[in-house]
Amino acid sequence: MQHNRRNFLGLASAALAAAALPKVSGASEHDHAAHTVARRQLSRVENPVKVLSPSTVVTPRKGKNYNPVLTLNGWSLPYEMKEGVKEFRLVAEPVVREFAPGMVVNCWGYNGTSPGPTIEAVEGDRIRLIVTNRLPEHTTIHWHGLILPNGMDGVGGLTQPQIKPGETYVYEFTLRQSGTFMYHPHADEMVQMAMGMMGMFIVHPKNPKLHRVDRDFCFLLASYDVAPGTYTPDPATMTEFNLWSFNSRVFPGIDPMVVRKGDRVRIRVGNLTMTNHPIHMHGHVFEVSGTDGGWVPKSARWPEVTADIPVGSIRCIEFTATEEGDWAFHCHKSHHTMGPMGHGIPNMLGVKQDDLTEKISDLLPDYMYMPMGRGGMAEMQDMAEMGMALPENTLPMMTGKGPFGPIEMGGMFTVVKVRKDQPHGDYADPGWFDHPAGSVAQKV
Amino acid sequence: MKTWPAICVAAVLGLSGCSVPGKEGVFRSLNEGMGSNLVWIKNEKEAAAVEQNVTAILARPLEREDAVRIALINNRSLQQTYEEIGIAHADLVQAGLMSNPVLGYSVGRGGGVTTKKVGIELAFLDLLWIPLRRELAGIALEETKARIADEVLQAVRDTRKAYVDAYTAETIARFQDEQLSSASASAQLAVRQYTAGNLSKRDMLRMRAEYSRARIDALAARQAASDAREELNKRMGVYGHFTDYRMAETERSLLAPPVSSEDLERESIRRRFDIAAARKKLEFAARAAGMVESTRLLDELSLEYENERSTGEARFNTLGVKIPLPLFDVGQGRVESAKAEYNQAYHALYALSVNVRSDVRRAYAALRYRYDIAAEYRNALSGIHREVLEETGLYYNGMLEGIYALLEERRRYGEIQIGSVEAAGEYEKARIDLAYALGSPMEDADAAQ
Ligand SMILES: [Cu+2]
Repeated sequence: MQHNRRNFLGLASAALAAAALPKVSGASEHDHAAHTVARRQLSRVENPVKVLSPSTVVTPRKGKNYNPVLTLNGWSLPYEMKEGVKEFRLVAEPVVREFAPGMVVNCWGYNGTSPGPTIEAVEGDRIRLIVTNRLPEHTTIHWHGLILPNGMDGVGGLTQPQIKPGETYVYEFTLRQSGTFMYHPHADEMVQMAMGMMGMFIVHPKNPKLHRVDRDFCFLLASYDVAPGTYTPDPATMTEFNLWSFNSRVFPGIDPMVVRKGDRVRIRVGNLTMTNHPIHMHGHVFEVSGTDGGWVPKSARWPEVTADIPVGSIRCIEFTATEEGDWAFHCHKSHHTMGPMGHGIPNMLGVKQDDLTEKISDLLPDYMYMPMGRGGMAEMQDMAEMGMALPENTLPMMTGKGPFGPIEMGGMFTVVKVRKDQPHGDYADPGWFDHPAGSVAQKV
Repeated sequence: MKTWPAICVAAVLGLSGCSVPGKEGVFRSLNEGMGSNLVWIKNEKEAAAVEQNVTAILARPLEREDAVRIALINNRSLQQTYEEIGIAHADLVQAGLMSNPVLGYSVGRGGGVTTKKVGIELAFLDLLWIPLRRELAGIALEETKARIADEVLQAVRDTRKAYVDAYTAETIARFQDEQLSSASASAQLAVRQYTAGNLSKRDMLRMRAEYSRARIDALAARQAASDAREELNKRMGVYGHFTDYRMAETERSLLAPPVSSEDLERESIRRRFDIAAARKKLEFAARAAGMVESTRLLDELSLEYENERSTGEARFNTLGVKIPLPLFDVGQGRVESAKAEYNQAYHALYALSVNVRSDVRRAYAALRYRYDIAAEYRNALSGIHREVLEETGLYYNGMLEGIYALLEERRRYGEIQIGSVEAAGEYEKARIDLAYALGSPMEDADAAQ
């Protein structure tokens, strides 16, 4: 059932994008990507226990000597044991990613998704990564943060020839550290990362008791510039991005992080955007327990509620979920929690416009014209609620609906849901928090 | 011999009195030939009837062909032209009349004798020349009729074009008002934004300047509209309260023009009234030259009858003939002049035909291009710009663009609407020009294609 649902969505979004963009990378490639999704992802994942969102697959724990991570709106790459070597296959290819319901983007990714699947292995493993390039241009993969033979580092031109379209290269090395790492191209990086080529690489400690947590979430920060009404990110953009994403999803399309009260929780965040992101969590105090350089000694950790994730870095934060409720978890740069918005739109704060409404409406075709911006931008959410029309494939600047009304967020925002009765290992969304009587701010 | 004069006079009277159709009949045949319904005002009663008719037409919104109708019955310059039929007709009547006989009476006295002479001199050959002269006058009347028909068609063309111009100018003025409305909304918002401290004075002033420019454009459009309307008023020959009519708002259809101009040239030569007039002129010159040739020696021949009576003597009747002796003037001058006039008429017809053919080709080419331009506006550009405007509305909804961008796009759309109306007008005028070039009478002016 879940297989089908995922499969269906992949095909549906592929068809949509192909219809809108006749000649970008070709419909057949999109279709191909969709088929690849079904074959590679799901047939090889043994009995996925739950699908939390259209694209979250929980890797089964069975038979593994580690506690798998949960990739927000993502999945972990299956492997085959070949004479003691864990063999992973990665296909670099154009893919279609749904960023939130109502919006799809033509990305480049791996094995049918962007970001690509999370690679999970264990310290000391011998791994083989077979990389096939089905992009229209050459690529390589760099294993960010891993200690490995120089020739396996994946820097095009420096340590290996670029992998040309149609070619397959093999990387093989032994994992000497544990911690949180990434993979991404080191060939035409500006374009390939702007198009969403990236993934997480988790190396679990050999001793599963070391750094053990109950729930282990991970995701990558990526930014895109998809102009309103278009489907393909502009790879030449340097600062003016309009989609700020967790794993190439934007609120309200990002999975909540569901935990059981009392759980020890780790959240691993990698940053492959071109700016830093102060990631802030409500309701708890956490500490930074690791970076892409490894684990932070317990004695060196300090308490935080906001961790700044520098460009090209990873921060792991850990906390014990002591406080029940729905806790906001987001980037603290306010424009990173907004969907696409105009640059240089006139500032209408405090400017009366309503009396001109009729005059302006008379001049325009038959759609409802509303004066906006007098009180602020919150009207935007009201309009979104009223189902206002936007350019095709464009998300509202502010959106999301909570139990008390509009949440007015887009982009890098999600919720940590702490529930005392959440079953162990269950990531299913429990719905909105049921506040104990007298524990909600009220009007006086 | 007593009865001679009487016979002569009777014969002449008989000839000149023979059936020439009345000028009313000529005007009727002009109307029939053109398939039109002209009215020739000749007295107060007819003038009143026309005024009533004009009042009735102007009571409802004015269509293009209504304007033509009014011009044909009410434009006094045209009425003035109609009178030429009267003149040509009078010439025809005149041509049928014999010169009056000259009566002479003389009394002579001498030696107690009184001699009284009564004589009648008759330009006798008139009797022979009258049919010839009448034929010439008939041709001249035909020529006049054709020339008037052409002038009527010119009036039809000019009135139709004046209507199109007036209609277009009025529509454009309305669109310019919308442009002004958009610019005014922008300017009002800018002033408020400035007052709220959100916009620099410089940017606010720029918005106000733009509004000012839009106002100038709107005023100029109004002036152009009133100008074009006055032209139409002149064509229809109306003044006073008659000028308060409303123009009908009709959806103009774009009829595809014919694919080739070749048949049209032949058609125009066959149909045009100015060509017909030139043909008649040539025919007249030919006949006139022939007449000069046959009368060159004899046209001053006269017949004389004299009755002489002297006191105490019997009456003495004399019958005589006077013939000029062609010793010096054998009519060479007149013959040469008539030949030159013939040649002139021939070249005039030739030149006119060449020009008409060129006019038809030019009008045809103009129609094709004007059609393509107007069709591009109507079938593509207007729709596309409207969609752009609608899409811009979506950008505005999403706060991806501001209100000024939306209003600006509205103005760009307005510019296309204005361009489209202008193009439709130019196309319609090209059709009208081609219809005239083809010499199409009233009904098939539009079907001429
Ligand atoms: Cu941020």
